[in-house]
Amino acid sequence: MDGSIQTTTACDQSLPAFLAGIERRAFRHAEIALRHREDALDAVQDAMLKLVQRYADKPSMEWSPLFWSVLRSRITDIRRRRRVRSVLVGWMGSSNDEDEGLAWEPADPTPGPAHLHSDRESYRALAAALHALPRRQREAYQLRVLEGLDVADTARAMGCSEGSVKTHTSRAMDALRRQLEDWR
Amino acid sequence: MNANDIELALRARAAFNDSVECIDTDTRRRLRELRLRAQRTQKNHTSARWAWPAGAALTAALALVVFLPRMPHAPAATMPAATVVAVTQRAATQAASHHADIAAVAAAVPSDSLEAVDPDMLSDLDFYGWLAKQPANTSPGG
Repeated sequence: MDGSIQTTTACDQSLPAFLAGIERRAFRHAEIALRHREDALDAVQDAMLKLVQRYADKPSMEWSPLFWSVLRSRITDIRRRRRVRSVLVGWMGSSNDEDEGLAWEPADPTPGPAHLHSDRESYRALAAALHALPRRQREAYQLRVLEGLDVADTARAMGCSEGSVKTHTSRAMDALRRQLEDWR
Repeated sequence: MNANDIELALRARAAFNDSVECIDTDTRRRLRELRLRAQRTQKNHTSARWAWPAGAALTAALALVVFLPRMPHAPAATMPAATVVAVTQRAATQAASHHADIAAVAAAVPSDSLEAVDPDMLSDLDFYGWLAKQPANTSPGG
């Protein structure tokens, strides 16, 4: 990927300012991955706490990949806990599966002008397409394209090589191009 | 990445950014609370980081203040006043006797040879003091 869609993600700033600037985006990413508002808030809270407690002394340039790495880890933990809970509930004979399979829509109850309707529809289509991706492809696309991290920072956040980042991102873009065909 | 991929990425990012701006008020408030809680934790964490070393240093200082006067080489702090006076007088008497011994040795040795005294001799002043008090006609062999 070239640098044509890069954004500024890290600069010399205070930790409160960094958290204030990233909290909403983090919530949206967590919400796309978890499809649950409260779980997304829990994941963001844990990520902020861990960044503050363990990495506040790090240079501000390192906060962004560290934060996304922690958030990604927390999302994985929550999804794993859900799977365990689902298995336990299955063993107990209940058919109530509260995680996967729900008809989920991104939380956006704010009423707005009519021209915002298409934007919300676009986001819903994007969120659904992202959620349908394999986890690593979704993470790579979110960090690399939506957050504008460079390949090295994305690799640090994902805990993999830069080559893997490029592969996951490329596959995610192929899949999204097919799923978002009606965007054209 | 071709032009279509770039266009798709730009549209995806624009849709995502719009959704971030449209987060409802309640969620914004919750996120702000979570952030402020995390910042408070940072302050507490920073304070707690210095609590253990500071506490250890304070404890060590208190231990020195409490136990140092009770050490054996500092009798003045634990003895009654009368005992302290007696000990001081005895020490003064011993010092005066010691100085008298040194004066006797100095008198027995010619003044021009004092400068040639071996420094090791000064550590045996008690012996030389005793030697100076012995009668002059007493021979070592009896």
